[in-house]
Amino acid sequence: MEDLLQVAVPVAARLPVEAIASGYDNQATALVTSDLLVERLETVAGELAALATETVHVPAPTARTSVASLDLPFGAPWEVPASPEPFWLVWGSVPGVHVAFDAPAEGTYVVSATLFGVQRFTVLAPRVTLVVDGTPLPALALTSTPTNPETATWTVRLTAGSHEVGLGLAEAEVTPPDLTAEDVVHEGSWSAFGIRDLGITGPLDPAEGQPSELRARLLACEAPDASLEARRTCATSVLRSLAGRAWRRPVTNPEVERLSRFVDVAEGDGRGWDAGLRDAFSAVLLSPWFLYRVEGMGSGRTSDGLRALTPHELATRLSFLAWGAPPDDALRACADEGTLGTPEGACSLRTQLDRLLDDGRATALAHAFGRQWIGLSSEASTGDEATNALLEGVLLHEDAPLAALLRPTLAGLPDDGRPGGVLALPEVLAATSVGARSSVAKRGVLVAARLVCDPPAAPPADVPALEQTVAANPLAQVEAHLADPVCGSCHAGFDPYGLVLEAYGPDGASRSAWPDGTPLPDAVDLPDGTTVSGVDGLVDALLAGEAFSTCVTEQLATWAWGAPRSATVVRQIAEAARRSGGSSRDLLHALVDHPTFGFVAVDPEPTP
Amino acid sequence: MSPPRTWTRRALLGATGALLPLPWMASLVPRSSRAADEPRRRYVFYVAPNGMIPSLWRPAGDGPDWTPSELLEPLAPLKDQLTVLTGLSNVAAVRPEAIMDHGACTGSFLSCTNVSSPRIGAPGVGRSVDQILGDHLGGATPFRTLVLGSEAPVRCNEVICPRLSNVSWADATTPVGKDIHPSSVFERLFGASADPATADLARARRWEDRRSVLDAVLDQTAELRLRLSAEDRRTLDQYQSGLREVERRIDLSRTGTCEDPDGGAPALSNLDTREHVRAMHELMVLALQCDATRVVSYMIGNGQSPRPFDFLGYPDGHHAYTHQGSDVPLRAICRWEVEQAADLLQRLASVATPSGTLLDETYVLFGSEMGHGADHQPTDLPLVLAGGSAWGFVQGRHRVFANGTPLADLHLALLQSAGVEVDTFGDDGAHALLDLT
Repeated sequence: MEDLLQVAVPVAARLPVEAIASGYDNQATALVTSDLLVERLETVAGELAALATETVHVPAPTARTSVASLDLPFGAPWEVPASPEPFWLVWGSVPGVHVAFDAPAEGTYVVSATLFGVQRFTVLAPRVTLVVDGTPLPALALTSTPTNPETATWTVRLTAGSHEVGLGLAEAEVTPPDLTAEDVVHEGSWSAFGIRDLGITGPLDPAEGQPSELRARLLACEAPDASLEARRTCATSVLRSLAGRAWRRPVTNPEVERLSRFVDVAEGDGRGWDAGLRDAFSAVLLSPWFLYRVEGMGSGRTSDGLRALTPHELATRLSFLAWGAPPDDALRACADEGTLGTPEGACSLRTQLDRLLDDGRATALAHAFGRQWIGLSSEASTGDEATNALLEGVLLHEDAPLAALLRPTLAGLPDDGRPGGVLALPEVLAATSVGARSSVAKRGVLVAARLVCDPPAAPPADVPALEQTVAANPLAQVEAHLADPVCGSCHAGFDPYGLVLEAYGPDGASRSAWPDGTPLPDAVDLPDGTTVSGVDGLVDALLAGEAFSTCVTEQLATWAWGAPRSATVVRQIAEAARRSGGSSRDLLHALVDHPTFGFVAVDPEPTP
Repeated sequence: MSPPRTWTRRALLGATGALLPLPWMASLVPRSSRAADEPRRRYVFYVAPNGMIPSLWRPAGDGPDWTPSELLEPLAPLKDQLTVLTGLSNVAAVRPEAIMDHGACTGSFLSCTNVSSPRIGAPGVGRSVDQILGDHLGGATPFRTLVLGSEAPVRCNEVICPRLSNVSWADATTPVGKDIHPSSVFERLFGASADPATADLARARRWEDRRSVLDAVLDQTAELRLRLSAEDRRTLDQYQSGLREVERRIDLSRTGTCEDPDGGAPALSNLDTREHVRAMHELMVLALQCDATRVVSYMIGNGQSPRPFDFLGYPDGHHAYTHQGSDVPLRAICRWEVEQAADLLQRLASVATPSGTLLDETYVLFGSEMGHGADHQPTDLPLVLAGGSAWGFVQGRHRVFANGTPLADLHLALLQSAGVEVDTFGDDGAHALLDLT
């Protein structure tokens, strides 16, 4: 929804958590549509439709600024009350303190200032003046004291654009009879106001009928006051465009007709054009075409259970691969023209993929795919900067070899002297620990399942006996696991990897011994018989053969297709990527170049 | 019955600045407190997964003469309004032994159906007891059931995984999906957005407009469905049934249920575990009170939960402490969970209805899916059945049943008490355990 409307939608806390299958949240088999989800979607879609069609800012755009400059024309020292960083406003200083303010729109603004005074001559009745763009407003008499601040407010009308807003002390209306003008300047300098907060808020009253920014963006035309026919024409074109983007395909005439009917009905019963448009938008957003990625709707010939994707389905698959989001205008244009996927030219899959990957939105590939690949949540915002930087640096950088995921220096990225690449990331090490204890099994399973794609069978039952009896250190536990014929048959396939990664503690810190003082083993025998020493040795072993690059290929293909691919397809893509040089970009190219990228498996004969 | 009190946005916002001991929604008196109605049958399933400590749970004595144990002590003030049930098990639902793990136990607690049962796939098989009650009792309420939880679903890729996070099932493989956001529950109950930015938008929508939008989307969904494979059709069927449920709710809401809160919701995000549970308790009571639903299921946590108990001084989850030598943390955690159940019961008991209290009209089943979490055995289950005295059921007992008595028999009794015409439930429920009518 955010991508369609290009507006941050606070929906996360209002929609249920998605399920995950095959380790990724975009998998077809993970799709469970609960009543709860539909219920929440209906609510959110309705609200978004209302937001998108509203004509008045709700809430009003608000600008607020605080005092930012200090002007002390009379010099120090002043008798300053103990207070947190006030700015000083002194006698005769008009304006004493001023700020630049950028009004987002014409309208009414409220300026407020909290002031506290130091006065020597109360007879001077100091008054505070607001000066807007050089013009003073009527002054306000203040009675504040250092311990009793008061807030002064002014209501001003501002045009859109920048303004200078200042505060100063106005001249006293009554000049004390026993003071000379010179005295006033001198003695008056004992009167001062400290400003704690100068703020400007507004506008409070945006012009009626002003389209919201969102509406202005979504509606290519505005027609409420035009003729009925013009209004209908405008509604039709707006709906055709919005539905086309939301449903990621051209919209048929009957479909547009059906959406336009909402506008006709609303006009007919007196609710008006806007109300009709809002209902139509709701229907667009609640449509299964928006909420699901639909593939295989083309009329392409079915052979071997495969059907060619339509150009728009292909564009969608490509953009979800790179951006985790629907296609942009340029990619949609290729699909509209029917040239997407031609071997050469601007609309070839490679050219378009490169364009998408070089766009800022491609961080989605690094986060949504990359983070989930190494067992983390796809929420980059809550993740470590180091994790995101490494994944972006390798997956999005054109020349970065895949191997740099384990050895960042190969891509010119720093490894800070901590071998292991993704395996040395503190976030990964914490995620593979249980509380304050690193987990050999969890770390081992991560390597086995995600780096060499040899996942262990699901544990038969949660067997607690060892954890309860072996309290000492992980080595003893691993030995006990491996000695037990039931546990050992599986644990032998992943514990060794985890044992090597014990070189990092649960917080990611390097270590050479366990907390109880037992030194880490010097050498570990991996499941394939290789003996390695340290994390660097493990990386050597992982990069020695083709298992790692093939496994990353398998993982990426699962992500790209939304379902696991066959071993044959994975092997073909991995080999093509290696032949081209083995960079992450080579792999992505090989993926979209594979003959099956433009196809979807369908039921040979769908029965109505 | 007190007259409805005006409930304003200001009053609500003003009352949420601090952790108040009183429910912040106490002044929301339901519009539908239509007096003199026949008392309504209501059911709450309050699930605290990962087991208790049997030796500290089982009370001394039986029948009417029993003394609350260490863990049951928080329920002592309600002793006369509840029955402790000893000896029940759910073994049939989790055999074979190979899959007798957390997921199998938690997931089948309310369905008593084996995930590998040969009957899986047959209509109705694996539907949990709360859902069947909702089918029977929920026709007139906006929500057939309200499925809630206080811990986010486990995100993992094992087949068994959803069973850790769900006790409510549409069928054996389709979890109903629990709402873990108090602000979302609030919105759903009151039709008002908890987000001030959209509150007015939500309220401005007319039911007729929502209906016509749903009609159009349902038509389009039906057309798309015809073009899909059988597997994808299943997904779209779920979507369709969800849309129909929304449609039904919109129709019901025309007559009004819960008092419109006239503005935004209280701050319901960023709650810690204790605040979250308390907010859910308040929402549950409110939902039952204003007849938004008659059936609630609630998971205070997940099976195999890693959620920390920092506020008790323990940094790990309930599950981790079941596998540790010392039972000190586990005792504190189990006791805290019983205290929470007691809190809900007290809240229900403090709401007056024409026939007594809300608790009198509500059967509340509180319990866990295992005896002791360390054993992963769905035997010797810790169970308490509270409330329901409006139906004449005599509470205040410790009932000891033969070891291995099916949990499904208890669910069967609950179903029959609601008038559901069944004589079996789950894999092994064939004899109603109690006469609850």
